[in-house]
Amino acid sequence: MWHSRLGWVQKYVKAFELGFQTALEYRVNFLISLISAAYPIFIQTFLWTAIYQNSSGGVVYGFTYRQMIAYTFMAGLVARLVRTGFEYEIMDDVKSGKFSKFLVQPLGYFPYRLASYFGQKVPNQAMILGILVLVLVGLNRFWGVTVEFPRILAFLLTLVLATALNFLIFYCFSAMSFWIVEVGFLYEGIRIVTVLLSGGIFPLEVFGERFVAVMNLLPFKYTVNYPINVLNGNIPADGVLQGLLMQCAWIAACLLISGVLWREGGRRYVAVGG
Amino acid sequence: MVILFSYSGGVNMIVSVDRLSKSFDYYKKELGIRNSFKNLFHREKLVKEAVREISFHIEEGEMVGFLGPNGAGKTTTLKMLSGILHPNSGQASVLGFTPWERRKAFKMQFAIVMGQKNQLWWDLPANESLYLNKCIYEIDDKTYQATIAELTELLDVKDLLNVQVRRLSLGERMKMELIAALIHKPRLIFLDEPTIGLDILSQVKIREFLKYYNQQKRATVLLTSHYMDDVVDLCRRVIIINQGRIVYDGDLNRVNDLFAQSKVIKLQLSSVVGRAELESFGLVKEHADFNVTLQVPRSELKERSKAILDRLPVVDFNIEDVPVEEGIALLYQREGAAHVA
Repeated sequence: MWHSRLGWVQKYVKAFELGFQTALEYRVNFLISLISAAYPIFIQTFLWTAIYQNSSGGVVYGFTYRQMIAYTFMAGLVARLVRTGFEYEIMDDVKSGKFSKFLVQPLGYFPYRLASYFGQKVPNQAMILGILVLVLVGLNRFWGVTVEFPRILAFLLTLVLATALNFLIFYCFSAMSFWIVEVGFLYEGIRIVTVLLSGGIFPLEVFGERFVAVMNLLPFKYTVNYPINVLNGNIPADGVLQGLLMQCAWIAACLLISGVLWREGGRRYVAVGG
Repeated sequence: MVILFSYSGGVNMIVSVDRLSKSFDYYKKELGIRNSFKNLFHREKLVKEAVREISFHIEEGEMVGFLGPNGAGKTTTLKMLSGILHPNSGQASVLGFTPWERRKAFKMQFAIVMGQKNQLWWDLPANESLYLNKCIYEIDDKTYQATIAELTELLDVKDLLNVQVRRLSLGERMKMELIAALIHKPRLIFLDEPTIGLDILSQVKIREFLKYYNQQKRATVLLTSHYMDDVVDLCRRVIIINQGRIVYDGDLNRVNDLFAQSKVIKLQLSSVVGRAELESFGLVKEHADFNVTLQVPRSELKERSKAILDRLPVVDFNIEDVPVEEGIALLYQREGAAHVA
């Protein structure tokens, strides 16, 4: 009994390890993608600098110049941290018929993808967190920004949940592979919209109060905007707890939705070839 | 020849298929942009009946060849028997389970290998994928080590375990695929075109291995191929399927003559040779400028080949089997309607 339970865990541990190794195999690709991620951050920095220079009062959308630049850097990095990519693998699995092997082996597709995804995320997240530490140290030295230690712990917790939540959001979207063969072009659009809605480019306050109110109810801001606000102290302590609950609620909801979508999609699956 | 059923008592049915059918919907699209637009608004739905009411039984330890031209329904049948696809109608019992219920106990006992699909991780060495399968099938370390040692020895790939899969040759990769599929010692193995695209040497090696494995482990094997050699070498019983229907099920020897009495020689010539001259070497099946296909009786293959090489301006020379499609046509002619489902 003990062994069979252990065996069940072991296969997903191995999937995690393989994901980890794949990420290391493609570490150069990842580094290059980081450089390309820095590009929009710099553009936005110039943009905000120009806006602030031409505004009176020094506060735009409730942010001081320094707060805005700090947000821009953090948003770029956190959006990277939670970013998925497995949806293309799922599309390929369904399109090429590789999905079949999961139907014939005693291996669940969802836990397998999740384990492999976290495996791929860990080395990349370690690198991005390293950069984030550098950014925080820089902000501290040059602008005197301080972050309390409990906030860092809370941030790391929200980040784990944000990664899981974003995984589930895209796991739901990737069920579209069963209905649309060439779904890849849609993914890119969905990704851009979700990054925007999650506050991965601008603070959500830029879009106005009503927008923020709606976003508070949707899952997207809990993947980027909310963890950053936890870190930079924009939300009070009880707000942190509320956000954590929202994260958990949306994780549960996405689990349910993805379950329904994948059951329906699985029925539509037509193994390719033959 | 090995005696297949040496034990006493009733014969154990591993696969029982009863009037299984599967059809696919697809859409027709005429050539060109205009029709692409037209398809946006109205698409003509067509139904392809891939498998039509097929029935057969396979006993434990049997090695059965599943033969048919491309698109005959071989792979669709295998996919239903392994639980990948739901049939539209009919029943199947595989190892006592209904495959498309996808029970874990069922999955632990069989394997499917598809020659055109790979299940190994492309960027990692094969032993990583093998180890993943060890975990998936919950095999203990000792059994795993012993199995790997035995299989890599038999297939002669011991030194390649640490090489990235993408750096392996097609033949080597196929051997690794086989090992990956056999790690949990399945009682039933579905092999879908295991030798497709491989060079002759690899084909022979894999056939030898499959024969040995079937005899040693008494594993039941259902093998599809459109290479007649695979089936002739390995199977005593053959099921021939064409356009979704079983057209023959029985002893291989009875149909083998039909397929094996002729061979096809494909030639590429450096200059054009007249049809009349070509006909002196064999039956001309195709004749287009420099490319010629001749059919010759198997018994005279050697002499004819020599004569062709001596007397014709040959650039390229290939000997092949009569295509399965033609073999089936011959089968229809000889057997008449008796075996047609």
